[in-house]
Amino acid sequence: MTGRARKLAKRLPETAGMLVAGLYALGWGFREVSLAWRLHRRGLRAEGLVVENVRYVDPDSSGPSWAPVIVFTDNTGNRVEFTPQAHGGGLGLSTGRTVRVIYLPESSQDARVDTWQHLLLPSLLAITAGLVFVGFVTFVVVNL
Amino acid sequence: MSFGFLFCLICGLAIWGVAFAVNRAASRLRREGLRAQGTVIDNVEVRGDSGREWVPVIGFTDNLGYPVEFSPSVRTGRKWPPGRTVKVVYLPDRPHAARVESWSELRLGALGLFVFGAMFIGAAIAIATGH
Repeated sequence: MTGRARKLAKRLPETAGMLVAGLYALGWGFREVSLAWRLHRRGLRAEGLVVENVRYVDPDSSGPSWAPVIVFTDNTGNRVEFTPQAHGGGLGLSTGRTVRVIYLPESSQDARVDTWQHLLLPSLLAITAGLVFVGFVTFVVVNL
Repeated sequence: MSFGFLFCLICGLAIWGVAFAVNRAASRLRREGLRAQGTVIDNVEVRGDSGREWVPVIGFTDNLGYPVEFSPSVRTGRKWPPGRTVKVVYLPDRPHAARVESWSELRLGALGLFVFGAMFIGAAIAIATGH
């Protein structure tokens, strides 16, 4: 998500880009928080297995990253495979290890890893960054 | 007490705290970590500050027999020769966070942070003593 926001910010002139990137981060963060809340209230838990770590290179980042692929069986018996949306420092998972996953019964493909780092940390960081961006733009506009 | 003094003091102590945590993690890795032999399997091109840079990718097999890949945290921007073997150390429950077992890879980060924090502490002392 940050990659897309960063690309947006690059294409637009500075303050407008920051405003759009900030609002985008806020929107994404709040959507993730609301999903975490719905998962907390009525999500189903299952045991997932990390079957692979796929290497990918974001040209803007300082090096390669690894995205874990997690497989679990949902309540209807379907085999579901997913990759956490946010990866990076502290969110890595090792191949061959089991993790607890949580999902909504109607959309098991949109599952999440059931730890607070995976459920809340990325969205809280996005909301903080969004607030800083929008706050900075407001400050600049007010002081023009 | 001036704002500058407090700012430098708090920044310095916070950076020292992080340095302490980083150093303790490295010590734990040295004490409890499992050793394995890793191989340089690839070099990934990234856009660095001075143009094109390379980040090596190291592969090894963990204690459960699963393949693991990672990149060293100390980066020089130069390629590592593919096929070269390196010593790898990792905690059994977190092989994805493996490190190359060398002084620079395990201690340099903490040392750098310590020096960086010391600069803030030094500035705080300079402000407090009026120099």
